[in-house]
Amino acid sequence: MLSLTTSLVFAAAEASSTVQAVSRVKFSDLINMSHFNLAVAFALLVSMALLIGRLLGGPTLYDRLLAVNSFGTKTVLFLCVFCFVIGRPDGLDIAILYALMNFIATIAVLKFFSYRALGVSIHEGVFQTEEGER
Amino acid sequence: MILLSLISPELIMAGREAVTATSTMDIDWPMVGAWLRAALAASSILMGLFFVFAGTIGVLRLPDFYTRIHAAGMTDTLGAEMVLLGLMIQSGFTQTTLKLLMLSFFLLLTSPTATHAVAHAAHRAGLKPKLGDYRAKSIDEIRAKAAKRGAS
Repeated sequence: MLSLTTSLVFAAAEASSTVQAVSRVKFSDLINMSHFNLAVAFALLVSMALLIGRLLGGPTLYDRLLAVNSFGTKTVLFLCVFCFVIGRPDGLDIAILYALMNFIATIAVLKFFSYRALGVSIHEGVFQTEEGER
Repeated sequence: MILLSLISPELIMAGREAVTATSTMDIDWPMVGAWLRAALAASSILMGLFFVFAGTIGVLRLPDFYTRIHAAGMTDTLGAEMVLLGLMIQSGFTQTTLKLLMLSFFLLLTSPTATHAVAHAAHRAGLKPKLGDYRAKSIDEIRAKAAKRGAS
């Protein structure tokens, strides 16, 4: 009985040492996923190129804006994946900045085309513009 | 007496050898964990890519603006989040994951807002949705049209 318990204790010690080894080894040293990431980046580029079709041929302004917004989101994704491909994650800051700029740009263009000016307070403009033209 | 005979040092050493022989079998546990992580990350990214492509094709082929919004919104939320989740799994607990978390939070906050703003502006400007039956052009019709355009 005692030999069984001692062997169990030894087994536990071995197991815990293996767990420590798992947390010590870096993932990127074991498996290099940069080729997979490169393929994903190319797929995102293809999807962006397809969206340009809607951007150029959209019948209304709002179709084009929707395409631009989607294009911006895909650009952010492409930047993130490309940072992983080249192994320099510093570019993620640029991706964050681009996401914020994309949102602000969409809102600004929408406001400009709704009110024909950027300085209009929304509470003044809501009931004055284009309501009668419908 | 039987128990005492069991505690002989030879038996203990034999048990230890047996246990170490079985517990250090030739399984490379770090490698197994790394492959699991790679599989998780790859499947998440591929699912995200599926949604991104579905959204792109939807934006290209759906009939009018109000239906295209559905496709674009799907790309912006679920596709982007799943690709970012895959990248997070790849990078582990680092500063990179923190940045990716911030980015996914911003995207989750801003892209539905932007889509809603576009839809609201279009509605206020008086854009009407297409009503009635609609059938998308098949590839053959598009090809025939292109051939006719090329011939003329």
